[in-house]
Amino acid sequence: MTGGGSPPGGQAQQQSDGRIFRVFWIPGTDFLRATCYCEAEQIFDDPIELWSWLLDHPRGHDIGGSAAEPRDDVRQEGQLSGAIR
Amino acid sequence: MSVFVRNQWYVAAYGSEVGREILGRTILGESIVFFRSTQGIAVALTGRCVHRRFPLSQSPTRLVDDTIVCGYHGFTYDSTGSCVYVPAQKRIPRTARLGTYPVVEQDGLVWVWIGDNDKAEATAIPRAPYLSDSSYTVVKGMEVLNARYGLLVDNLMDLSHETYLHGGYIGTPEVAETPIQTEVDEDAGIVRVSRRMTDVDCPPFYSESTGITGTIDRWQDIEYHPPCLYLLHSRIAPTGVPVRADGSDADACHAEIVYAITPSTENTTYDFWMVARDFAIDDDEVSQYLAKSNRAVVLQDVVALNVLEIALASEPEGYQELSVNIDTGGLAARRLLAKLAAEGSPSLDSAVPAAVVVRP
Repeated sequence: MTGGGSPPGGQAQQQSDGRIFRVFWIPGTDFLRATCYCEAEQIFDDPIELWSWLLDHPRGHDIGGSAAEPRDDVRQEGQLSGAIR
Repeated sequence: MSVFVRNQWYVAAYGSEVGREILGRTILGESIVFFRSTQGIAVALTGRCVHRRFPLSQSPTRLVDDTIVCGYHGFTYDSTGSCVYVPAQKRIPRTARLGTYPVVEQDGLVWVWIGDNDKAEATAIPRAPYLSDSSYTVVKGMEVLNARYGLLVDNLMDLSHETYLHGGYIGTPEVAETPIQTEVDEDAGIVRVSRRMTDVDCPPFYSESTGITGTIDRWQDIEYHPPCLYLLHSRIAPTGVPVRADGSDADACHAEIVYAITPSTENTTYDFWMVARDFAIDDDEVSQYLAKSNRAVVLQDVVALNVLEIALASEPEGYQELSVNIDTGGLAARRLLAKLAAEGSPSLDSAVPAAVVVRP
């Protein structure tokens, strides 16, 4: 406490301006929103599939489409139900 | 078995461990001896005498000024690995020299390069500056794990295990229940996992050390620099105490939890652990408490991972495991490790010894 520094998330972390993949666990759901550095987004319920998609850039990374929509098989799990809208 | 990631820097020891006594460590299967020269420079040499392969960390092997004298037959080497004395003869065989390892001391840690020596300079070593910052107090230790290093990486990248394995120390129900956010910086080669908890119980580890009573806002921001350095930026503040408008955070307590994960053999790992804090920095009782408690937590991991190693070793090849959301960061770490392992696989020019490099 005496150090009086910036928050730990900001003071020590080394950032680059390069390619960053982000995965956001959507609150209140079991879903993960994956964002590629190309800005394409997709929602998953399986981290293995998620990383496969992210790392397959640029294949399937259509940032002009509705990539942030969950795939049909994910939607049919019934857990999304508008929670991310 | 885990695949070694070569052509990387690894923490071999704390700076305080390397002195005028010979220290032996096995890093990525390579036997290495460390000592400090009379000029105070850390030296790393192959840990076997070229004559009959006697371990040079074994007594009565000893240092004489800046030379190391094999305790078996007296072969003597200088700090560049050159043999300067062979018993009972004047001619020193051309092949009588020990391999040298690039060494860097930084943030109180002794880093050694494992791989092609000529590639060492071009590879940056990640920093943990609070370990040598006078506004922090550090407690530390090291345990040897009888498990492959990947199990420790998995363990540290998914802190939801704190709730179950470390209850009574650092685990509370909210850790496992709080969703994480994950980032992978492809260019910097860093995995970040963040868990921000609001208005949650304060575990004994922090209530006893900070003196905070009542609930807290607790941040766990992981920053993993594969293969070796793991940083957990932990923020602990009474519920509702924010970061100040100017970005400073003097109203919160911070603990920088550092691990260096260094493979020793395929199924043993050096688990270096450090806790640097910016609160109660002059309070020896807090230091003793945190040292004792964190070691207890580490030993809980050691017991669990040793058992897990035995279990996995008896599994048939290609066993199936299940990954869920909490594993998102761990999976990212595995991927980066696999990528680094592929990039660092041995090349044909790997046998060229290089001078010892020391940066203050």
